[in-house]
Amino acid sequence: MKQEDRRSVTHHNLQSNFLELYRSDHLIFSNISFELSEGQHLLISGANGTGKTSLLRVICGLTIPTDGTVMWDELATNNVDCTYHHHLAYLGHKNALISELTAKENLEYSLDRHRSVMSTNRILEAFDLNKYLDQYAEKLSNGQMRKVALTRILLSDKTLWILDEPLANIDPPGKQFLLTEMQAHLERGGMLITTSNVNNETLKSNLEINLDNP
Amino acid sequence: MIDVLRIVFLRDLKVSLRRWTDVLTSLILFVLVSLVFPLTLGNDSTMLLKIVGPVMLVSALLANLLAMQNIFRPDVINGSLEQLTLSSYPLTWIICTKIFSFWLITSLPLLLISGFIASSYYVTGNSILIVILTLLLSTPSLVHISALAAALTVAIRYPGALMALIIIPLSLPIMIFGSKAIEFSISGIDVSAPLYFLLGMMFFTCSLGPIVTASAIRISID
Repeated sequence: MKQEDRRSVTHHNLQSNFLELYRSDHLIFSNISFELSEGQHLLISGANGTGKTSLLRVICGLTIPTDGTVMWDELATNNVDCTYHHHLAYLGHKNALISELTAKENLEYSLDRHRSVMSTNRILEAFDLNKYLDQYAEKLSNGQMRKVALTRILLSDKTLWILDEPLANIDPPGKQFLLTEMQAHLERGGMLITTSNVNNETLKSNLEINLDNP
Repeated sequence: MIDVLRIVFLRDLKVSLRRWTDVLTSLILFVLVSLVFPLTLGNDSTMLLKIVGPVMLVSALLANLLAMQNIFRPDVINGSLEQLTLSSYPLTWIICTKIFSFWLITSLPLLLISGFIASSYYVTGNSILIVILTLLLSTPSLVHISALAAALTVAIRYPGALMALIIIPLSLPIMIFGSKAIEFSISGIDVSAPLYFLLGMMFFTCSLGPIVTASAIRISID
């Protein structure tokens, strides 16, 4: 509840200035600048190997860029006072599920749980996960693992969602549900950064960065 | 904050218990290595009493080395460590909790069993308690040192040998003073000096270890 209040009072924005990344003398991308405010969707597109994932990792702070800064509410994200990580939910290629725990335990032991039981049930229902909650994560199929990981993001109540190919491996009904959820997140004033495969009729992007032509 | 640490603690405890084969392997290694000497030296009790200190500490170090390879590796592979570094809670405390739960799972059984092993070296009376106490004071330091080595080598495919190269020199002071404590107690000398040193080392590694380990992790998962 507290988080909702704060969100309605202040307007968050994410800004990146001239990001540049070298990996052992090889230029991955350079001169990436954008400004994302509430309710906006940034789409990062490009062929395989053009650095989409690297850019996402730079934006969320896992990789330190060679040059340039990422700013959240006018503060650099590595600043001590910056509240960036309170508002960030990231899902990369790895689903962050512990294989020795069941799907349910994986959801229970996540660090940020704000949403109610009601919405948990709604999401699990829509993803058709209820039957599999007591299975160990290693026994789930790729699509199911992805769905559990996405459930965690949907339940997290964060402002900025950074999702790396969120629709990969997901069946059509799941895709449809995820797209409407992402749309609802944007309408609530959330922000969204995704990579290429989220580009269709349901979810339009406000900004686009194409990494194909540096 | 406390809530989050509790979640991390319970989760790690549960995961370690489900990976019980790993835990058991390191415990069996400890028992086997430390029982080789009484078996090969026979009933030469003066010799056995001389070597019991170093043997106990070296076997604890080896068991620790084996167990600690898996403290961060599975979490890096499945991506959950990445999520922990991105959380809004301080990584140092999270790492500290992880190390503590790992110590409980891997070193506590070792302490419980060490008394029995010491008795096969003809150690008697109070000295058995000193053996247990020495291990109680030295295993936290060993765990923190190994956690640092594990964090530094987490991006390498087969880290075993490299971890040993990092851990063994760093844990030499603990080996030396730990064996002295056991040796003193057997020959009836006051053991407080080496035990104080071990206690100091424990506070030193427990306070600085998690900070260094957390930054090593940030570098490793880049």
